[in-house]
Amino acid sequence: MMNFSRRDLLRTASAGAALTAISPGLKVAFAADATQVKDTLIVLFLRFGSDGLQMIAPAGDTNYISNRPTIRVRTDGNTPGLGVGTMQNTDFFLHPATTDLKALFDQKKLAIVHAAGLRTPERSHFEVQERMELGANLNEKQPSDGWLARHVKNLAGTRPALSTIALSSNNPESLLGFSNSLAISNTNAFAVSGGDANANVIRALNAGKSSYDVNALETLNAITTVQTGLRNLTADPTNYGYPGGALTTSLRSLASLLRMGVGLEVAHIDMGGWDHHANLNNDFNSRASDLSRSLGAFWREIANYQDKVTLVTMTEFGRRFRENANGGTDHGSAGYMFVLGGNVNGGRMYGTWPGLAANQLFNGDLDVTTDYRRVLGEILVQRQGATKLDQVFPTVPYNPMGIVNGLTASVTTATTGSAT
Amino acid sequence: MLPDKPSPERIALNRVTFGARDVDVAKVQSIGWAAWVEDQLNPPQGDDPITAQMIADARLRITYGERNDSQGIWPAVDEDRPLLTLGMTAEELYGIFDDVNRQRILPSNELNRITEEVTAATWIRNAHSSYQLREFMVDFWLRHFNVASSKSQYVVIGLPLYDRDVMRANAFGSFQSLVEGDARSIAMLYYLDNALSRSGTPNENYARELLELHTMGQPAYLGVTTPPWTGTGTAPVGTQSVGFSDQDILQASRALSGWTVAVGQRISNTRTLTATGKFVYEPTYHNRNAGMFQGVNLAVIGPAANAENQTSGILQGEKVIEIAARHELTASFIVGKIVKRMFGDTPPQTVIDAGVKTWLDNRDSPQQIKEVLRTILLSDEIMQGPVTKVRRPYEKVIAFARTTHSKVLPTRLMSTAFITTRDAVFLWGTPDGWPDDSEYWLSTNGLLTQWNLALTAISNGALSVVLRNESIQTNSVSALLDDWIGRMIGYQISAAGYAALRTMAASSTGITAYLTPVSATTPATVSTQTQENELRRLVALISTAPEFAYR
Repeated sequence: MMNFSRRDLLRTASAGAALTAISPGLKVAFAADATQVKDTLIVLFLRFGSDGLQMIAPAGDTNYISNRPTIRVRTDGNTPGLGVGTMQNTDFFLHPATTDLKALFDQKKLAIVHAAGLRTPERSHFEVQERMELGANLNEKQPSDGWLARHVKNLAGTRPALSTIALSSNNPESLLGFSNSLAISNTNAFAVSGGDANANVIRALNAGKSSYDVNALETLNAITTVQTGLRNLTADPTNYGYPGGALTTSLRSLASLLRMGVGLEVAHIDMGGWDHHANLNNDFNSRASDLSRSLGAFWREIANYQDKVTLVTMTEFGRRFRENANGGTDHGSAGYMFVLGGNVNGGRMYGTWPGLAANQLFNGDLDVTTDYRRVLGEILVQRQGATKLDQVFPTVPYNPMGIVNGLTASVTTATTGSAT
Repeated sequence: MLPDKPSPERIALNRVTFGARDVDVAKVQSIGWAAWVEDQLNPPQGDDPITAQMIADARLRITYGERNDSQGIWPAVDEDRPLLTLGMTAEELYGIFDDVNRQRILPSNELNRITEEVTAATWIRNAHSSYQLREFMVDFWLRHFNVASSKSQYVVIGLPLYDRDVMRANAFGSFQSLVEGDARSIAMLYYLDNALSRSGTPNENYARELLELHTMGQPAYLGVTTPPWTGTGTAPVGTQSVGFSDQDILQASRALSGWTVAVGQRISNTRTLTATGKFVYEPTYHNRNAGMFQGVNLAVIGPAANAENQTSGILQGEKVIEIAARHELTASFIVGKIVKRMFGDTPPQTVIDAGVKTWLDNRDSPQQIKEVLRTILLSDEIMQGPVTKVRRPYEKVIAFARTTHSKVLPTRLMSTAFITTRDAVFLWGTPDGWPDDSEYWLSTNGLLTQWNLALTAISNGALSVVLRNESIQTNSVSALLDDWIGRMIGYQISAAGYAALRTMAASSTGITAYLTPVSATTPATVSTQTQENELRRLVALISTAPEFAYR
């Protein structure tokens, strides 16, 4: 009973928190229940450098126009960019292929953080992805586990067996060190051929202590839960407008897991294919369209769960400011983040626009003005009840931007840090 | 009674092949390890006769309808066709893809088929070649210099040449020749965009991965600029430098611009690159501003920037490759990667050190890689446990085929199965290739995919074998089980696992029927197909044991 009434109090209080969240730094010290995970957090990693200057283009900026003569998003013509407002006197336009994202933005469910990322001179996909997933910059102490793993391990109490799932064929590096995360690329295909008769023999063969045995047992248990859950679900024949493909499969599986109520708290999805060194106009268009349509469809499919979901995107870096001779862009610096959810203060752009004049660039590219960990930290505290943020991001202080509603809990946070 | 641990010969064989069979272990025990290694290091140029025959006999079905409109003109095709593209030249392959007057003369099925044929031949060779060490290394190099067929049709038309003329031709040769061949290959030129690089702002994609993934390696990457030298004396340069920075990448991208493929590009009003589908150095695509790369001034190599004749500009790119391939950091990066692939995620440093020394001593040798392999394979450690390397899904299926005496039948079913794990050549999208950390392959999804692949591969027709003929003739469940565990694993599995398999076999009517010879007076009540299906189930379940998962 005690527990129940505390949760009740938290729920009542959270309405007021929406107002206070806009003033960063204001800390309302409620005694939050550490095990109270409010939302399912979905981290969508756009792999291999998604070009933020195409996704959310400063389309009228003269430097932008002159540095991207052939590939730029336009403010006029047949397919103009989709206006999303102004930041530091610069007008921004979503890529014309992202009409679903624009609709979510207009419904105030989608927030945009521009010029976000990890401020590092490095431009290797693999190095920067790894740093972002471990959660430490070049000059910082390198952790041996991923930031999502540290977060999940910090949530007090025992998490449900299916609390943490990568909707991919394998676990991402951000979950490195949390051995209970599962990889399920497609719930419908998540079953042993031949059923229990075979599964039981496999279970007996893998009753030892090696990491293979341990993972095998966990796999068999997860299969049982998922298949039981699927049997109890009413079939949903609606398509919702999904475009098909890998991201569609991941999101539809995720929607099934939400519907079957397995206690999903953290989900991770990868979307590759953003490395547009050439033919950016064509290839970026199809990726951006896939992303936009998939998220639009997912949002419709989870209509009953929208208030229990926060989705955040990230990418290791944006692209070189100046286009190359192949109508593509090489590796650059700042990217962007989308935050989508029922408790997101959407329809707004967040962050600081650093500008695109030569003296405003970082090694020739868009500068990072918002550390990606600042955005993630806010979501972890506000929507997942994290209280020990210093253990997740030891170098980045808690400094919410007001992107999500929630309850500002008492949180221990890094006191120093150079991150913006 | 099976031994309680794998024999030293089995440990060594499993490290450098696609799976040790009883006959392989017996051969090593008979002729000795050193002789086996020497034989493996000196394969014939092409396939052994049995593998060559299997590839010649292989047929893949191709089916498409006729077309006669503005999109293309071709007749309907429905045939079981041999693997014809494997031996084709660049011109012939380009002809499959080339448009004539913007009207396709062949449908995309013919293009996709190129990938299917090379992949099919790879499966056959990996599973059946007598020269398993070469297969192991070709697989290593194909994954090290990864290209993905999904990138573009230009990559696809380059695949037969990539496998045959770059990887197989150089698998045991000089690393520098291997990188040079790779840089000139159609598949890599298009996969990492270097074919599209132009003089104005050269494309950095290939230059970056050449240094970061193919040669010096990610640990050698220094960031935007090389940090100031804090050691004694002047900073080391060239093949002894401390690493590479974005400045080196920029200079390398300039030096390597102009390396492209002749596909009919119009260079000027009077000059066009005749569409041959072959590598060509095009001077007008070459950026003339290359400067200091690894402390070596590229500006003094090749023509002066203002010279009219720029044909020798290719020397700049060759210099970049030479420095990168011969670099000391490249030696430790590549040898470390090879030894890890063989031994496991924490490989013995002594073996790496010995291999690096051989690598550096043999930088001028056309048999450099062979010498390094000899050093590694003749180390004392090669036969010593522990056995810790997790077989990747692909390796596991090939080992399953080898140890069950199954024939690999390349079918779409097999490709579909591998697509789920992305663990087969040309299926990994990004240039880093497949992770070689065991933990990566132990995800829930990865394990399930492997189990289901084993449980269905024989009945789906990806593997061909009649297990009733392969199983020993006995009336004892234990003898049947011990024989299969012995062949597939070579030593005792856990007691609990053994008991479960024994219960499964003893309660299976199919297996019981197999064990009970039919006599004239007691006719069979269980069909031979049921017997066969249950034997398949038994061997597939053995392959899900952890003892089969590690090699």
